[in-house]
Amino acid sequence: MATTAEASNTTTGNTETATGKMIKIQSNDGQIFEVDQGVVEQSSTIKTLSDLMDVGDVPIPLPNVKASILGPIVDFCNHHKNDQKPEPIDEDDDDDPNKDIYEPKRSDDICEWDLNFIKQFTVPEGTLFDIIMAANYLGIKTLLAVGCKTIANMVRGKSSTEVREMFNISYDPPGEGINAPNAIEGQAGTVPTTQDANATGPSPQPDPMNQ
Amino acid sequence: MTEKVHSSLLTLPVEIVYRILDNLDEFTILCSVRDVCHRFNLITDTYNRYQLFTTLDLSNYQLQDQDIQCLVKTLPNNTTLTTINIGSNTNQDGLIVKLINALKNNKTLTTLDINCNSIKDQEAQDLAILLENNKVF
Repeated sequence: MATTAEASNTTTGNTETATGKMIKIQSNDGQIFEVDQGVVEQSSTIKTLSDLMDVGDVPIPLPNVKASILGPIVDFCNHHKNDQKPEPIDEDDDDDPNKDIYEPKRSDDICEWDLNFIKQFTVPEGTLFDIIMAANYLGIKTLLAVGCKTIANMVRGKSSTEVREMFNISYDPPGEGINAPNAIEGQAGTVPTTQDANATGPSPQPDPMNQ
Repeated sequence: MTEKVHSSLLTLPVEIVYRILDNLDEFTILCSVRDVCHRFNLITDTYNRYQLFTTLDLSNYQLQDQDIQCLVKTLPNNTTLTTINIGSNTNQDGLIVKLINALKNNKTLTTLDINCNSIKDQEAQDLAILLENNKVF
């Protein structure tokens, strides 16, 4: 793929904006991307790693991100590296006692470039979730926010049946019917045989709520 | 090469689902997210904004049929709401009846504000029966 070359080209063209120190990062499938400080600053994970280990020319391994996701992330950070610093309250308000927690955050403020950027990631291929996970892992708050807002915008105004269809989620009523509507319309084909004692199939995740 | 399971909404960790919920209003969380599946049910139940979500104010919120269906489905299982305000939803035929049916087994709701809704005879009767059987209102 040409991603390495592209990434290097974009970054080397702008070296004067940052300190000029280039850092190499490596995806879990071995592809190396060269990024400048403007990109590094946006990822708390890469920044911490590069500060901790004086890496020199050795690429920083990012074992949770594959090249097909890391490439676009580098593009995203390159696009945003000259942005005004976002208002610092943006993400650190979780612990702010003065925050009105009843108010949902705004999700209609995704800029056009970001909207187009996020469109290349889809639900059926799972890449939309990959990019969110990668943004979370890399500590890129702006990208994580764009991803979460995108999903929120997809869910808004839909019924839970539509949400299930959109995200290809099997309906898995627990035995006692805690969330089971009396009528499960349109689910005949997909309702799994959860009534079997050991059929936990439809819930692919171990349940994090069970500690 | 490595053919692994595609990521999905269900593979996102809880804290990211919370972040998504941060962008949604309570009505959407109640009607669109909570009943999607068992996992989302559990996650919304532990989500701080949902736990503090005791008043559903739908006055002047032009309820669509779909919204009402969602409400009717979700209310019997809801254990957080103590107040529902449906004031001024005057143009919804049968809204009250549907809500009353949905609320028959709800043990947490203590206030149903139907201010400004023109109540028909039948609805008033149903309401009276509901009130008779319901010990928490």
